[in-house]
Amino acid sequence: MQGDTATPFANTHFILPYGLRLQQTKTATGSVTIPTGVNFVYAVVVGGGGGGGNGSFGSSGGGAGGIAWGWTIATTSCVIGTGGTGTTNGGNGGYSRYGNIIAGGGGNASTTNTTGVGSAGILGGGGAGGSTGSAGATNYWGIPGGASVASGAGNNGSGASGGFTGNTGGNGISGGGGGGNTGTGNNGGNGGNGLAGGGAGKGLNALGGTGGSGRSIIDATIYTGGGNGGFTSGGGGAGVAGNGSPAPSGSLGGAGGSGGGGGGGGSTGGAGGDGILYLFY
Amino acid sequence: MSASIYSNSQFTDSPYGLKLQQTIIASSSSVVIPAGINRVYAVVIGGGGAGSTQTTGGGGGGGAGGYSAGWTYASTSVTVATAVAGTSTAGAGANGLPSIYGMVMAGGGSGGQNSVNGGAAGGATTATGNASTISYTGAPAASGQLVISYAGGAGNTAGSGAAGVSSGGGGGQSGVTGSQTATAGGRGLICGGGGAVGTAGTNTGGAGGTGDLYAGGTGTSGTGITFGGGGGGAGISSVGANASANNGGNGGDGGGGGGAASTLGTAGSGGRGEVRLYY
Repeated sequence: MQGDTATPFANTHFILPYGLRLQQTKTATGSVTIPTGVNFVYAVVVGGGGGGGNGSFGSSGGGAGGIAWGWTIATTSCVIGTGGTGTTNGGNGGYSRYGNIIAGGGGNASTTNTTGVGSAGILGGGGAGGSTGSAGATNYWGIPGGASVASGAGNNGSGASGGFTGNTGGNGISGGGGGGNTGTGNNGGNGGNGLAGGGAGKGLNALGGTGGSGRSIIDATIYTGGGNGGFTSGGGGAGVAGNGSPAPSGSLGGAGGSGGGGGGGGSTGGAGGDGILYLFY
Repeated sequence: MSASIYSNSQFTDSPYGLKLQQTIIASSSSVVIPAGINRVYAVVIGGGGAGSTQTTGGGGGGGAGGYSAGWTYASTSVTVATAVAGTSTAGAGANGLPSIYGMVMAGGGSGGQNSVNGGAAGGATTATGNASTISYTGAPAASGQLVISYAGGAGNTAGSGAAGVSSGGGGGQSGVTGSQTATAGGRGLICGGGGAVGTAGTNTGGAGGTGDLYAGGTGTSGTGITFGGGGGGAGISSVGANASANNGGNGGDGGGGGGAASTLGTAGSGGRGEVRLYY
């Protein structure tokens, strides 16, 4: 039961966070109604995943959306970030916020791996893969992001950095995008793993990578990244609330899973997964 | 010896079972906490930055004050940011002032700049110019204009103040002919003020940022340089004031940024800070 004039003070259910019950899940920006007398709530917010890169070859995966958690005063509205698109100049994932809890979006991958450097994540978001694996971002709690890389796999971090050409994105709370490949016959890099996973890169006359895995914040469910489906495009990264989509064709990257998964690289990249908000009280 | 988080309430960082007991809006050296209460949960909000004004054209809106929350030892003294006044003197607006209770602290928002640019929002310390500061939780600062973070960066002629828990002030326009529209304060829990314009044509001042709990003030719109003030940003405790003529609206209580003025109008004041104590 809840106090009627104070913040929650009784153990209502043995679901995380300790003593609190998941009361509301929001997947779009809008109003929020909190019962009278509940002054504080515990919020977990996830930003939108970055869009996958788009290009005839070498396009990389987008980074996963950032994740933040903690207590906040109860407010009457929320902002939920949408996933970045995988079209030309596709965007980063949008930020999500409830009260004073805020998480940024994953970085979007650029057009091709030959010239493309994707975007860094924002406020906990993973970075995109590319000819430079873009940096992941420090999150709400000050946990550092992974630094950008000029070779090899992305660095781990709160928001992990993306992988260099053909390499795997870094692992973290939010995974980095995998690097697309520009060498003929070489596979794309896999997305990095996390609570939300990064999107995978595209191969060049070879298979795309697999999106990074994710997992639920509210139970033990593991979400899987999308595979390449036998195509050159990369799969989408898993979110905290859904699997990443496999690449549907050699031209389309897989979409990121619900709750911040990064989009996979393709001739048209997969869209990043939308953000999400959980409210416990 | 062992301990369990499931049976030892001292492991929790939550504000379980707490009530809002005191809302403090002025500095004091005589905060009274009941005997036996050694720790309190404090929400501390810095003051909003004042808007700026320019001799010709419009200035930028002030950034919102910082927002910090957490446990602290009980203290008998508190510092609460007073409102910083907007003026009719061309130049940057005053930065908001910090607030602090115990070990919880929040900085002021940057004043609107001596240009068309707004001010960044405050984090744990006071912001100056385009970039915000690191938050009390350690979230990174916004590195410059239009950058979203816990404390958002300044707005400019092309974009509204950046969003965040505390948002940046909107940008004005420097043109003095034709139709001009300023940008708004960013969206946030606490918000920056709107930018201003001052043209012989149609002026539309920017709105103050819309908060989760309160609305921002509206900018004024009309023909000639006696219009175009920016609205005040929403605070955590009240709405931002509407602009009037070419004057900016004041920021809302609890950290709202002041709206900008144009053509030597009077810029809006930044909203005062606030401290809320729960125990």
